[in-house]
Amino acid sequence: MAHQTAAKQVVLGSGRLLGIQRRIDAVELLGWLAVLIPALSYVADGGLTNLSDAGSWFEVINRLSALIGTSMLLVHMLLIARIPWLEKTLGLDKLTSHHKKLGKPVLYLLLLHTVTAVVSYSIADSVNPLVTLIGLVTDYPQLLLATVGVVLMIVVVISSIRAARRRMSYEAWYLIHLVSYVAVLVAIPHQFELGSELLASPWLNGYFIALYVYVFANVVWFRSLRPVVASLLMNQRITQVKKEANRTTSLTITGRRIERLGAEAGQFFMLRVMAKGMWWRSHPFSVSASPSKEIRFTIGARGDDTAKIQDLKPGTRVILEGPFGVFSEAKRTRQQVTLIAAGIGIAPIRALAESMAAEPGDITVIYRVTDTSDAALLDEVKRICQEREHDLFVLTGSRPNGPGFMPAQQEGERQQPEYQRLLTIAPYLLESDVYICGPGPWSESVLHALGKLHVAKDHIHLEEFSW
Amino acid sequence: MRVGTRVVATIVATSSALVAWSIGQQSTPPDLLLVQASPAVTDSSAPAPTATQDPAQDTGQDTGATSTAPAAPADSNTGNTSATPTTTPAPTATQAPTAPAPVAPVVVSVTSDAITYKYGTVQVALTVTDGAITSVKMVQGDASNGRADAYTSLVDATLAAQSTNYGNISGATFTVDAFKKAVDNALAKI
Repeated sequence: MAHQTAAKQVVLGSGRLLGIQRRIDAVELLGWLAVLIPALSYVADGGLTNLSDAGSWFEVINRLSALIGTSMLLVHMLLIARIPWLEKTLGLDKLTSHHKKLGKPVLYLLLLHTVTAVVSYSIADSVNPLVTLIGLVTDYPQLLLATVGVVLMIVVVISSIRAARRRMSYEAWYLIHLVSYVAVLVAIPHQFELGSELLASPWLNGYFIALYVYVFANVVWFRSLRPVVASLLMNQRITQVKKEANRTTSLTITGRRIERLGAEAGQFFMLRVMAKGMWWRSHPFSVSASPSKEIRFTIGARGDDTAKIQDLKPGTRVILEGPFGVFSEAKRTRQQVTLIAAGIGIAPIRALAESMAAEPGDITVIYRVTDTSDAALLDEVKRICQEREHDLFVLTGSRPNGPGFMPAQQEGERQQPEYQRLLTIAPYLLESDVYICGPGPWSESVLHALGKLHVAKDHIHLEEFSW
Repeated sequence: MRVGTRVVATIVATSSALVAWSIGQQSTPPDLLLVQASPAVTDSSAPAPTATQDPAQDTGQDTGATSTAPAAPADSNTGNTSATPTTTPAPTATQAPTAPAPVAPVVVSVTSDAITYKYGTVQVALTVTDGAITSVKMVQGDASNGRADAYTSLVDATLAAQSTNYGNISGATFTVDAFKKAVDNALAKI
């Protein structure tokens, strides 16, 4: 397959790096701008004049927290809408982590809005806030719905905090998280029917309508409709199930013109297998071979559905959502590349080794395994590295006692810190783009070593296979 | 995001916030009236003509009628907010026949239809003296959720504008619409 990629041309260099950084900055600024615009519009409309007493302060906080909270909520949803232009710039894992970070602030702002709205009305009517709350909720059905919405949001956020996630099955969390769409929807009527800012300013009204439509259209299309439509049109099916070493399985998926999905080596798909008990949730899997007329995943058995995958029959229909991720040549800016993998993290690394544009010696592959006789895809990696003349280092041995990504050093061996050992293996590391894929703690150790060597963050590309 | 971008973005955001704020200071819309409970009242007393006109008119008429004198000074302010819906009909009725004697201006008193809207009913009583609106009283109007203050502001705005040609009250759009309808309805009856 190496000969296929020989013709591929990749633009590298600092100009390209600058372009990548600018795109990321632009997209992130756009997110902030979406939040800033309503707040500025409110202030420019005279929202901060006449701040004379407690009631007016509560009112201003009420309005601002509503405007900022709502636009932030929409950005929060946009981040998980799987929109290609966003995804290509930031990558799904970065989008997801931004989404996670915004969850709590959004809830706090919307709670602040709820509380200050009630308090400011209760001051205006000089009655106790509880009376106001009951009055508002009984007088205005929209506010009753919105109150239900905010309560649902509290439930969703609580279910997503780390302590709760640990105690909860993925299934339970997933179902609760679906409720958040309901929470957002039921809060909409009160914004457009009672929200003074939206009623007073047609253009702000239009802005929010446009934002809502854009977010929901994208969520519905990219998260649900498009994958289903593509699966049916392409007739995406499993055509081969092959047991590999170390309890891993390779699934080959074919479909009519499946190459139109435009997957690249290093990317992953959300795979939904239409089999009993598995159809309702999808899993992220990296492609383990340079995608062409077929897409191959190599999947480790790590419990839940991944164990069942080994028993799938060819012919089973699947729904592929993706491709996702920027753990690919898209982020490469240097000639030299170091690929570092552990465990099933070898899947995307193998695909990269196979397809990245390279002269002999440009690419160094480091594969950390416990036992060479039982390492996934090792034979394939060896063959690719031989054909394409990459440097391959298979690091074999048991884990070190402390943290670390390399095998424990033997007694009598000269004791060296890992970053020195790494530099000995890959002397071009400092002039390389480094791609890392493996389990979380292991990746941390690699990052630690790279930090010691002052490898710039822009040249470190990381994909965790469990997240 | 790169540090440089972040710094530039922060500066731009801060300065546009300042610009927005100064634009906001220049625009003095009636939009914020509902926001304050008592300040709406102090605010409304700032434009001199309206504030002086109103109580003066009230006292004048009230002394003429010799009926509700004690309530008069506070009438357009606190009196309105709490007591309007129930007590207004009586004074309105008395105002018409007892026009101040000297020049015998033409005083017309008229009550609007009850305007039912989304959140209740609004009905107003207008007094028009020599073609100028001199008094607006609430006949009906639910006073909860800050609407009492909205009415106070709306009465002042109507007197100042001598029409319903004024802005919206933030947070009370429907109430404002219903109020304007009621006033227009009353004016049409004259």
